[in-house]
Amino acid sequence: MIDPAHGGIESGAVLNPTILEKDVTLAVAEHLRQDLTSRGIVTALVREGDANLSTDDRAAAANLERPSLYLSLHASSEVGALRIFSASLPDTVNGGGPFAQWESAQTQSLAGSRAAEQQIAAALQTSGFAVRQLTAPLRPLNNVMVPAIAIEFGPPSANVVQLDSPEFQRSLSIALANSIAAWLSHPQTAAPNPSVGGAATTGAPH
Amino acid sequence: LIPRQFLIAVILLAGLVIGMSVYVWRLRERQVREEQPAVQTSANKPVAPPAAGPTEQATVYVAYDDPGELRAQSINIPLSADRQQHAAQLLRALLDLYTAKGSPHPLGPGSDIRDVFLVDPGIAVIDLNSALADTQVSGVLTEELTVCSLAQTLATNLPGLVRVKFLVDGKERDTLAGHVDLSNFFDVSQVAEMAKSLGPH
Repeated sequence: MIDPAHGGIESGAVLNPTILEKDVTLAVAEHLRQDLTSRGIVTALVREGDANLSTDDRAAAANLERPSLYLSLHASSEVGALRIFSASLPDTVNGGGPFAQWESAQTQSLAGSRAAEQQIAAALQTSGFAVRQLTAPLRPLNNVMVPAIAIEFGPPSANVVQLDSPEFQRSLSIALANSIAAWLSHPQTAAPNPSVGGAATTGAPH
Repeated sequence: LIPRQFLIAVILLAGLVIGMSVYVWRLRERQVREEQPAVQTSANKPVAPPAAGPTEQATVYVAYDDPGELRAQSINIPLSADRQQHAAQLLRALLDLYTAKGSPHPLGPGSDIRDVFLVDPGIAVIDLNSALADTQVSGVLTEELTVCSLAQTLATNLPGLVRVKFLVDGKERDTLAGHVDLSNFFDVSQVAEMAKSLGPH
């Protein structure tokens, strides 16, 4: 499931006076859906147009669909930026009985998220992209119950307008689609994660 | 001869005057007693630290937009013995770096810390002003650098700190500038993990 971040009255970063983050993320998401679908991967977008969705709405959509991966897309004006984030969760948010707490719903999938983050980053690096792996207190990652990551990308040069160019969007989309397809094609063991107490195994992709 | 009724009236009036005097004297004494602790409290108030004077060494975590890192640096600044003022002084020293010309992580003019509240057990509430939040560049990493820089600096210099909460102009705010979540408390261990991943790579 691909989530083009922001939308509606929430424009995200104003990358330049005419380019808004919400429009760039939607354009890349549409390319990515096409590229993943052409690889036989069933893909859905959290928003199709300039919809005004809260982060809770987005998490609810992901939790209802239960996709193999929830991917939130963000754009930045920083040159050459390509960063993959998994959730940063407070240790003091504890589980409560049979229900997952909304603020820490990601806890049960955090190992899987970090494994996906690591493997997708490795695949992107083999395609020539310099990728950083980070954690971030970024909604709705901590509210999603399936493996969830966010990707923040920037223009390849100081010209921010490149973010709006179909060529850049297409090349980024192809690299992301290849990396996601590589991750989905192999059941992987999760990366060790000290904050959740060890390794786990991701479920087989569907 | 003094008439008997006149004598009784004078005695009653004299008694009344004496009674009123005693009552007024006691009222005055009570007022003085009530005022005394207030005077003592204001005398015991912590004195604002001097702007210049003996300096102390402290470690602050400085954000660098290029290459998107958080670096530990030692600074020497005058620091108050009062923990709350000490915390605010550390954060203001960081903001001085960010608002200066050639800043490694520029924040808009007027960016400031309104206050830092230290609440037992181990909670720090950092109240940012709206000039800081409204001029913060929007983006996941750049917002994370700001938040982590402030929180990790406090966590490093205030032993016993467990959680950090951010407010903007005294109010809760969902995100700093559209990305990093400010609605929850940050655990110090969570901040340390973020600072580690943002460290020089």
